[in-house]
Amino acid sequence: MFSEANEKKLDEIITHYPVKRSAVLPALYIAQEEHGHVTDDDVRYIANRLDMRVNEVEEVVTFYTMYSRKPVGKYKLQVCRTLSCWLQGAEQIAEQIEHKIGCGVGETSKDGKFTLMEVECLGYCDLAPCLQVNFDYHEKVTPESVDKLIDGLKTK
Amino acid sequence: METVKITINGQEMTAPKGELLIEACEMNGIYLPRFCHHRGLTPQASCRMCVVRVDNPKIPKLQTACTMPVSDGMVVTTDSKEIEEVRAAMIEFLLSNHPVDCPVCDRAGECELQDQTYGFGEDRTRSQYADKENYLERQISPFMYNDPQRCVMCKRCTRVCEEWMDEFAITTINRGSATLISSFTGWVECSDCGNCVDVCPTGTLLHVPYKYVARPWDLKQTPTVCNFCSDGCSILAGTRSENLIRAVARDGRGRTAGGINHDFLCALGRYTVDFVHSDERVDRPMIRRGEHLVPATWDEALSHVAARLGEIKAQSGGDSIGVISAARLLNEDQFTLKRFATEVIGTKHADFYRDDDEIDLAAFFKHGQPAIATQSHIQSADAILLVGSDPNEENPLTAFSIRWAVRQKAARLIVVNSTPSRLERQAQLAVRVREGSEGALIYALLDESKAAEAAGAMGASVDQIKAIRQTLLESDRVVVIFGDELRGAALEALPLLEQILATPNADVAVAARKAHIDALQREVKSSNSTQKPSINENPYTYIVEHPTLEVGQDAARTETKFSFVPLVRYSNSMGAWQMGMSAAQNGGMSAQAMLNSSGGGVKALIVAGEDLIAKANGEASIVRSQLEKLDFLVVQEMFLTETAKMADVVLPVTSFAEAQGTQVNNGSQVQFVRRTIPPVGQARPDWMVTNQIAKLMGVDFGYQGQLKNIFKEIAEKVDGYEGLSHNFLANEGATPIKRAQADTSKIDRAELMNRLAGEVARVNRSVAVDTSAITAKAGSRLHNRYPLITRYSEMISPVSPQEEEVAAPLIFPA
Repeated sequence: MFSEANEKKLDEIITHYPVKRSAVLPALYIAQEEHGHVTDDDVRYIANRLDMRVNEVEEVVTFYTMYSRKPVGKYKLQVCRTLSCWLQGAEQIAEQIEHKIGCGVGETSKDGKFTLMEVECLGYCDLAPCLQVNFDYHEKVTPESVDKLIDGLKTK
Repeated sequence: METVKITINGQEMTAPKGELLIEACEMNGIYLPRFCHHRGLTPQASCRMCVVRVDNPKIPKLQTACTMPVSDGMVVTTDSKEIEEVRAAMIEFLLSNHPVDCPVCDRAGECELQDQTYGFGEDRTRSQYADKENYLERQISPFMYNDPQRCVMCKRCTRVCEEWMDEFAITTINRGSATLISSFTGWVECSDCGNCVDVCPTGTLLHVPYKYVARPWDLKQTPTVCNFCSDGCSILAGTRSENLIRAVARDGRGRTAGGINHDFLCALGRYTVDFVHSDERVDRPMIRRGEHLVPATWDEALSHVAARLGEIKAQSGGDSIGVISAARLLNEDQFTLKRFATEVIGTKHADFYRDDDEIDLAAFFKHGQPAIATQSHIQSADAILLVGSDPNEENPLTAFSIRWAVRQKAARLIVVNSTPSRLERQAQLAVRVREGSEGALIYALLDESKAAEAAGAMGASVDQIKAIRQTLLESDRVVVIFGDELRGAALEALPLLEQILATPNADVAVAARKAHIDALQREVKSSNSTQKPSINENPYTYIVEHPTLEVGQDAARTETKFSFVPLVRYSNSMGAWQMGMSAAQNGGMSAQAMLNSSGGGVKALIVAGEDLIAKANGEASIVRSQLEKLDFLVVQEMFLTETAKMADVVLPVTSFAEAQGTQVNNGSQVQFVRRTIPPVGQARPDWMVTNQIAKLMGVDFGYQGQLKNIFKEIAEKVDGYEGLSHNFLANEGATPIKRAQADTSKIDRAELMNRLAGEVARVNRSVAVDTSAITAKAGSRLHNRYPLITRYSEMISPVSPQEEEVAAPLIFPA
């Protein structure tokens, strides 16, 4: 199901916990890393590996916002919409990105490169507004810096 | 039971020690609002409606009464301005995403959310926003609709699915206000028990067959007893204008029929009751004229039957006429048929039909009636030995009780079976054995030295047999549940277990139980990551010994250590036996033997309610040709079955919903079946038909057309029925029938063991042991039974998405 390296990683992670099923979160990350999102087969496979029921794995995947059950772009652009960032113009940032990549919040751009999301507080209030691209933070973003950032990502 | 003193709202009250506060309040007449709390489920505390102020011991925050056990000297306030405000706020919160579409909701009128909003909520809301979560209502299983907007996330349904059914078919998906009840695929694959719908406090989950059919306040709800299996669950039968519309275990207001099943019901009992209104019911008597069955009046039909039976009796003697009854007929019907056979016809050939997988009650009761366990005995047993059968598919209530005992009472379950059964997941020890070798287990249990011999026959190991023996030996209350796999000498020998495996002394039992519970707790705490917990695949198993978690309040136990549950096949197999309607008791031919000698010794048959051809499996054509040889065949039936089509006279009779009387379940409990609807067409109860034929043949049973007079006679004549009456049973519910105990000292042990040894030796050892995993879908065998099999396909008639939008609501003819 997973690549050989990832299988090894999962085997190793399982040993970290007293109960096998506790490894469900890292296992899902591995799946997401490998397939871009958590596929139906991933859910079945993980359930099987960790002696869980598919419904239980599904419950976990859908509960946490950082797992995706649908295909997403290569870059997940996550704009913080909580108070500090909002006051600092997060809305304009989101609008700018929408304009730039040509799709709305919760959607994936046509080229399959970007997915725009609005998320709750990222803990960067002092450097608001904050934009998270996959696992990287970009603080004090402006419509101009966002433009530049996306142009750069497009060429990558 | 130990009690404690508590003070609620300034008044001193008593409550059982360890009881949950919410239940203690209810016992003392104080109702606390709740959504998530259910007596039969583990505490959840998600709805926060039952909050109370606890002053002693002083707790700074409001507490949920549904998770707080009472302690001595507890001081509680359940009613104050503060609590009122919190409750109102909770209701407002729960309603913030609710569409308030009561006028089109099937639950309106018996909705807990509606009731509690009236009782504890405000009449306004502050949360008027446009972007409510708008999930559309959709069908999520053949029998279930889901409308997520109405959900209050009490999770009763998912807990029922996990804890009661062990199916894990539904779960919560997403988070926050977007949470909904669904499953991995979105379509729920389960046994369709419908218990999740019953316990739902709102209109989120709805029964498909009941959708837009009736309003709860239009329904007349009559408690009666289901007649699909031998467990004998009570149902609340809802009727409107003389139509049977639904059957529930528990209505939205929490009312139950007060039966042995409490809030539990299976798919068969719940979704098939309206077969009684089928268009295919025979609605008038029919007499054969040449090739065809022609409608006739009752008078014509009955006098024809009486005349022909009289002729045949005069020509060939009484024994040329056989009487076969269906095991589902009520006691009164069986008793009247028995009297008819002996007093009117003068035949000894009277038998209730037993199919191949029916337990041989004659062997089991050969030496008297051993202690029979009821559902509450199973639920409070220390050890349960399940031999053969699969209660999950055949007797769902028994399966529920077994799971209950394992989960809530740490009972030790041993499953010995030749086919996969889902109950193996709960078992401490599950042994797959060779088909037909189940009796060898009894052989090994009775004589330790024969363990190796038995193990060889069973295809099991000696260690496994030793472990079973050890578990039974050191347990205090053992319930043996068995199917038809136990036959002959093994069945006869069951009462001997009491003698041979009596607990050495009470301390052993207590110590063994403690060790078992300790081991379980250790295992749950530290189950190794690489190793499956050996006790149970279900990771949620945990041990709670808590009075509120006991369904039956009586600390149920039988007089003897061992008690038995014969999983007989039909709703009244036990009753038919007790009424003496069995060939073994009458000294005549069995139903099969009667068929075989038809045309020879047997010239005429009276078949009450049994479709002999359908039951013949692969031998339908043989049965058909045997029936053709008869001079005269009377069939009392609801439907024009294959057997009825061959009859000379077909007499329409009532179904369980139209008949009144008593039936006996596999726990030997007699229960009162109430009439819920008037007879369909010209149908008459079986007893009445028999009584009328008898009268025409010159014998008056003296019933004066009154059903209760039959039961009066049963109470006088049948062992164990002394002092019972319809009135008593109607009020009392399930009443155990105690008969003469098996006298084990009279059993010739040596002879019995010899016969058992012979049976063990005859086991065909070339058959491989079925070690396949449990793969069958839950309920697959249940769904294959009439009338559910037809019902099932009705419900899942595929609808394309376009059609779905405009499709008329599913309405079923009442």
